[in-house]
Amino acid sequence: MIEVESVYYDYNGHRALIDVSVSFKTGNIYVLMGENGAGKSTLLKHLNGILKPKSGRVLVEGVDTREATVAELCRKVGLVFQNPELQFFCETVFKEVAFGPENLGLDSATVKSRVENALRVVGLTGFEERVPWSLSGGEMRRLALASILSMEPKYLALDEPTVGQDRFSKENLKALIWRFKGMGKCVIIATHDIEWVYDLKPDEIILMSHGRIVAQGPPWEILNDNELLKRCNLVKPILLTLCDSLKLPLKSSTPSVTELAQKIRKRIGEEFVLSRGF
Amino acid sequence: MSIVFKDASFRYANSKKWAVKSLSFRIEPGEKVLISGPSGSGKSTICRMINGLIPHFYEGEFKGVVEINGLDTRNVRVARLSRDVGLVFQNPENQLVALSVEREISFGLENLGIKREEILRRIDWVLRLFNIERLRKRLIHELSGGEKQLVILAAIVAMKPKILVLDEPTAELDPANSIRLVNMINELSFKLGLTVVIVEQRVDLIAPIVDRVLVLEEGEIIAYGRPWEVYSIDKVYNSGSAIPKLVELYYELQRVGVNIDRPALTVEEFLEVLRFK
Repeated sequence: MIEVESVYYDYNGHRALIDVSVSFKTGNIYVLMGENGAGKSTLLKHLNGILKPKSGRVLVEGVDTREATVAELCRKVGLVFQNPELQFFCETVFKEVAFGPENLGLDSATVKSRVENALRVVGLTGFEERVPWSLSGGEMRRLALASILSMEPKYLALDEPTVGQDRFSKENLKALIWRFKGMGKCVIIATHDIEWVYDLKPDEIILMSHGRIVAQGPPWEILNDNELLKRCNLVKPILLTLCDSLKLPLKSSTPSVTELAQKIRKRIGEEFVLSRGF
Repeated sequence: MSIVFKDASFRYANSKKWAVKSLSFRIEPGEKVLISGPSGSGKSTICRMINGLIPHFYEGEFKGVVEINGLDTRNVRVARLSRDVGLVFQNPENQLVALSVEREISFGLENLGIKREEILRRIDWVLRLFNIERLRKRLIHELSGGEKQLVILAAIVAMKPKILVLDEPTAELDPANSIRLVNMINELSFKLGLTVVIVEQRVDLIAPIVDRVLVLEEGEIIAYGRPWEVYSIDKVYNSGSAIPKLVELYYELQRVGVNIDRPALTVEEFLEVLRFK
């Protein structure tokens, strides 16, 4: 478990986190949402010790991040940044992904298999000898993810992972996150991509605003609270807006496209009439 | 200003594959066009071809013709083109040059040789337009990703380009700011007759406001037309290109036997098709 206890942090007096307390348990998927500048990225950077609280503390499996080095924490907590190209420094994709496991002192056979596995998982098999900076924006983000996955961290923190990703990559990412959950790992994602969060169905959504946590709960509860969403510069996912307009009962759920199509089909003729044209 | 591609292709140096192949299309002055397609399909390459970074800065093989306002980009300097074409890159970090927000916005204007009083007027105007007056004196490196994105956009719009090319403009914006931005693009295009080219993966907000959608796959155009036309094409749906949620619903409804003429792009449009009894 990662425990964040009453954390305060500021950038030269500009307050970024104020009295933030939250815990992240293994086997769960958490999504952090909130307005631009709400403190999401700052919170993620506290999880692997890149930033240390100015007051309060962060415990990673009982270890205070102020008493451990970033190198030690990185074995447990993998953080994939918002801007991946700032993270690359090796001349090939293979070397980039191998760097972490090599530094863990693993033998070359294990390193190779970890690299192959990580590249396969993110769909970059065949890119081994490419120069990282020659990749497209979306591919760079997936490379950044692979270079963290090869470390096999127990906690995975992702900052805006869907940016630049096409539909299939987003679906793959969703499947990957659920596989991590199935392996008993913990995934913490900061994102603005509310439509993707709707599809992801995380265990909990944590809403932040002006450096504070303002709400935490399951998706259907958070995503249906108009007042709360507005306060955090968020907008209801389009399918929930449609459900509202069609007065469809939700019963504490967030229906998928498939479920929604079924619900609509059942009601045609009874509640709705279908006019063909526009 | 119009944008015309005539059988245009580009291959980056050291790459065997053509990034874009034989592209022919036309964007009329004042039109808003969404460029869509899977990652690596050539979207950013098209942006660079519009503002002349290709072929002037990127090394590689260039074939065909790209014309901006009737001028062949090969014969026009990038400095000249950049006066008309404002490009906002995918990653804001790469584009920021100054220390503070105010300096960032004035940088481009100073380079255009604009007078001090006019520069100050334009700074006031764009800060208000983008609702970021509070950021005026802040240092760039302290801003969040989304705030940086707004600052760059403001800096570009301050230069009053005729063509605005945006590579994933809402990528790091929260949903409310994304809606504000989309409305602003719509308004700017309407008021100033701006031609707008947008590359975007989050298409739910953008698709309803654009005139046309251009879909790429492996560097080639697989569809170009009005949004509802393009999203009715099975090949587009199966391509991995971003698709609005309501279009997914349209296909899902078809699968369960509910046939609608064409996909709706907004909830309002959807309610025109499906009415209460």
